[in-house]
Amino acid sequence: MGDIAIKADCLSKHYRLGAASRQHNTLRDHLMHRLRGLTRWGGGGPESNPSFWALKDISFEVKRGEVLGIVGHNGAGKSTLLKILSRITQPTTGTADIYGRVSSLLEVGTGFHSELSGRENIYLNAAMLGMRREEVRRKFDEIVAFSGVEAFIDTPVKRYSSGMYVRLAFAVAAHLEPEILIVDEVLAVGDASFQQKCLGKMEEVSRSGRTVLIVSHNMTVIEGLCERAILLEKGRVAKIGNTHEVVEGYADAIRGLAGTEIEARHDREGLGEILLTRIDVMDQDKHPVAAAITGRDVVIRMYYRCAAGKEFLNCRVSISVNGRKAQDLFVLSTDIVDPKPLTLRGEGYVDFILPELPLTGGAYFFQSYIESNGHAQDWIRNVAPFSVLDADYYGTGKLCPPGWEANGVLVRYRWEAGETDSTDVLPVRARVS
Amino acid sequence: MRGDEITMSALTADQRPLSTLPHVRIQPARGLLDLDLAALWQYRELIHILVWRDVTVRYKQTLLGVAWAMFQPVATMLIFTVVFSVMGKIPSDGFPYPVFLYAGLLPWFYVSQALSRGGTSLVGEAPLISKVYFPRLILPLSATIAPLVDLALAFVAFLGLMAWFGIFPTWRMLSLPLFAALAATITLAAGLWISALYVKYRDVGHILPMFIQLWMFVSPILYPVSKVPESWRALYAMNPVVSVVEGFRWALIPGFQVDFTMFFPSLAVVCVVFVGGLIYFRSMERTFADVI
Repeated sequence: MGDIAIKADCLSKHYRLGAASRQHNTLRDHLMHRLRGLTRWGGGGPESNPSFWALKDISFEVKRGEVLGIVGHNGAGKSTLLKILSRITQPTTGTADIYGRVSSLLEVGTGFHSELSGRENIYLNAAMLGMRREEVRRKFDEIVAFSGVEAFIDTPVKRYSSGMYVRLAFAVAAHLEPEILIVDEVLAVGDASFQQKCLGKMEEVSRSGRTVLIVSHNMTVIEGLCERAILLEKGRVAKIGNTHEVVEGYADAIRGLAGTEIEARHDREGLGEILLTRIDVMDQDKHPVAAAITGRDVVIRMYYRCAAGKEFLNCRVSISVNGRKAQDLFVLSTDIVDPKPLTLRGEGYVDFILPELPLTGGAYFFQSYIESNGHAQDWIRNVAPFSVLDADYYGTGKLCPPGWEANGVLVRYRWEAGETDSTDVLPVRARVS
Repeated sequence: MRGDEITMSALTADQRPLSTLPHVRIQPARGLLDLDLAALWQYRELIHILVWRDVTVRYKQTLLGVAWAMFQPVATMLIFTVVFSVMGKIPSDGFPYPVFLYAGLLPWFYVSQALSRGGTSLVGEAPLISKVYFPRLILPLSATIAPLVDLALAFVAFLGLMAWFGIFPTWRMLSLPLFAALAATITLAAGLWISALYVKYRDVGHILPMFIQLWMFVSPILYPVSKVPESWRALYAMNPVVSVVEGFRWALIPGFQVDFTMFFPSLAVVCVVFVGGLIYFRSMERTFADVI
């Protein structure tokens, strides 16, 4: 048992279905429910609260110093598992043994109070994450330096920009020194350079021999940090072991999911008054095609259906393309290129016309998002597969180098070379139009 | 051989701190009352910092700052004196009404404030509860402690009032912390119930202010206990705030008479409500994060 940090044994968590909407949040509901229960009592009606297992018989071990990734779709139980291991919620059955001090980072800036200054919030947040005051005092300067908000440390955080806020919050979290660190997708915030800094810090943490559990949708992060990973599917462990194999399994699962009819998809988020019903990939003449071709014009058509008799103002329809490792490559959004108001009603479609598709050959995925007046209406991750056939993008007879299939985007560029020791520079030019 | 030795020693060095690593077993809770006082103690710094936060935030960006803690009860005292004493002719057992009233308002301001803050402490911190672990008892507990600071400040104002009326404190004043502790226990006991119920039933948000106002009228704050009909006294004494208010007056006003037998029913009620509150809170605590 000596080198084990976490041992989960048959962890299960049971929820009543629709816990959020059907909960008796007011006394009246509760009384009404009781009353209905009474009347049904004699008749022996059906079970009124269908239930489901958010987690079912999860068993695994994490060794000390190991970095374990947890991947899976929305609703697969990842967050529930983290919440149980962080003791925020209790399992319905099963046990988990944890050896060592745990810090969990399910959110950046937990407990930040807007009226308090940066300095005060560092102490507050650190205390909430379980850091001793003495420890904070010792690391205070380091934390402030890491965050880069020195000049505003005595300003209330309500006057901070969102970027400063996040940097300060992460700086506190990054200086925790628990034996076990539990992280939930917190890296999804902040600008790219700060994300890089955070990733660096995470690597440092894992190298220092601490145990890390990390949940992410970003396979690049998971593959970069973890030796081992768990794939959760519908609350069960679908795969556990070597990270690359698990990530492959996840990609397979995505392909399976993306193959189903969009109409039948239930893993949607948002209000649902506007629904995406179909996505067609078409060539430049708007004929549907099975696959797009690198470098050719392509049209992506998103069909929608609005709730009957309603009109939705200020809509935004967008679609993003994810690569092999589920990384975001680029996004097409109606509001960015042409910020005229978009009103949706009834049924219809939006076409995105992409000249010279800048993607290498391979299997990609779409992620769709529709909103109206700033409210998310319909958001589906991995909504459909997107196949691209490789072609000669640069017109040089060369295809992309191996390893770049469905991984990264193509950009137009040229290169020049020069000799610095020669006074009479005669540049060698290569131009790609 | 050498290599083996090195790995062996590295292993033992690596494993040495293991015995000292804290071990936590996560499992479905069972048992009625598992207080886990050890966890509370471990998180004492969090209690401290939450109390500090509540006190600080309350008077941030105000001109008068902490002076509000004195101004509020003094202003209330002045208004109530005009309404109830000057116009309403409510007796005060022969003591100057402002002194009599203020000695009652002092603990009442604390109770009402701690109750409304304690009662909403869980729902008000919903994001915390769903994102980070700590013994949930800390929230109502620190919400009960924080207004003690306001109580102390309001007490300073009372000293001024005593000087104005030329009343000299007696040794009885030393017993004040005892009655303040009683007030805190009562509020915590009620706060445990209210905060846990609030998580499940949002009706509590509407009921609470009404409940606090009602409680004030069934406590001897504006009027003396002697005005309560003899036959109602036994029932009246069940209200623990009666003991607190009487205790405060006894400690602060020289010559104030208190029937200490009235304390026993109060204390019994406090004990029952407190223990019941702890059991209820602990049993609900398991689902806070799922329901909130």
